[in-house]
Amino acid sequence: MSAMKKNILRPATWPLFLFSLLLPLIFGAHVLSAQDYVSRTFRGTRVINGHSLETVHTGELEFLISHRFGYINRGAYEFFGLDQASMRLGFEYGVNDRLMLGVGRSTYGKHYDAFAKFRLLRQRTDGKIPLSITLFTSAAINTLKPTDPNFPIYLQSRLAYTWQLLIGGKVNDRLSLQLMPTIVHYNLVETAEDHNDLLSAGAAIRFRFTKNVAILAEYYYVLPGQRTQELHDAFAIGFDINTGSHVFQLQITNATGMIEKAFIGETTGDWAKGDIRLGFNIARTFKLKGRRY
Amino acid sequence: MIKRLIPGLFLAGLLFFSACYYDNKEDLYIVEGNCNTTDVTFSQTIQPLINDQCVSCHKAGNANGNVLLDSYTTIKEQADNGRLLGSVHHEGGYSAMPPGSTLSNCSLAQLDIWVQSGAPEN
Repeated sequence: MSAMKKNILRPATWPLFLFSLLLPLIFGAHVLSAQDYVSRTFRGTRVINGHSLETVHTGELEFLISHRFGYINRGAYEFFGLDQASMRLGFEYGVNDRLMLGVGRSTYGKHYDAFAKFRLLRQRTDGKIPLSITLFTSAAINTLKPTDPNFPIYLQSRLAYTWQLLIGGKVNDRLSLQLMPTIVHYNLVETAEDHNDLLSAGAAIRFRFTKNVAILAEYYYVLPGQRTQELHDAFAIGFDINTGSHVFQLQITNATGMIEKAFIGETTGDWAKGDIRLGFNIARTFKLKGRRY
Repeated sequence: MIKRLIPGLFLAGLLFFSACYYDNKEDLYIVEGNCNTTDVTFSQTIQPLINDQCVSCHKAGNANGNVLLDSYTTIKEQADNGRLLGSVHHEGGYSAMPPGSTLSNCSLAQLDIWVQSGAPEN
């Protein structure tokens, strides 16, 4: 309890709290029709590892399977990493045009995660609003068994939270850009020198070169001096291929995890050493409300 | 109008109730000298640790990453080629093990001692 009291008073939580008070007001705003907004800045709800500013449409349920294989530099004996695999299964639902909720479960760290994504501002086709801003918040819980009976793991120690602004838009019909200022909060870190609030800034680019194929790149820069272990920034490059009701994304990345706390703050793979994984995301959309396909 | 407010309130609640702790392992777990580092043996220390932490994914028939850790011979092999310590210490160029977590400082110290003394079968 004393820890909670202390933390509520921490200045870092105040802007979030004040901001949370404004949210109900934003929902009350006048709603334009769908075609007044720029659509498909990104084709899926993920850029590659992290989220894009897109949300799924009202009443649609998306089933997302993400897969990362082992490191390519393990050679032919391990079939360039394909002998190992780590995955995340997720369900995400569009409550309305602005709000999307999701849950997922990852192999890595046996994490369960839940998130909410809310479109604060949407880029408009008439140019009156030149960019989109989406707020992303998530909580993830590690459910691994304790590794040492002398060190019980407290429930709160297992939790990590992410707050992220996804700011971006379509520059033209083919090119989309996005910036992602991010805070990941870890309730437990290794040493007193490690920061519980990990600050990072991400950037993403998407270039569509045919109707259904686009190339993507995504980089999360973790501000220096926040971690005592040797970590690397997550970088990923890939394609997305739209096949109607599926979005198929194929990528290479040095990150293992597919949730923010994992790929931003726990990536140990080094691109320079060839610690690169092949991976894919497949999203299948089911329409639960309104006219069926 | 009320309907439109509900998701907003939900989000506000999500932000507000996510109580943050600012803990670190050094302060949270004050090591009381109960880590046995003077009498580390394969049969009493290392094998039980590996059985508990590693064997479920590194045994015959389920050798993830083609690493076997189900007998002295196979553990010794990984100790000698450096992958055992490389992985548990999350060093670059090795797959960080166990996936998504770190062994306790005590277990890491015991593995270090055992490997540095030549990984004996004792």
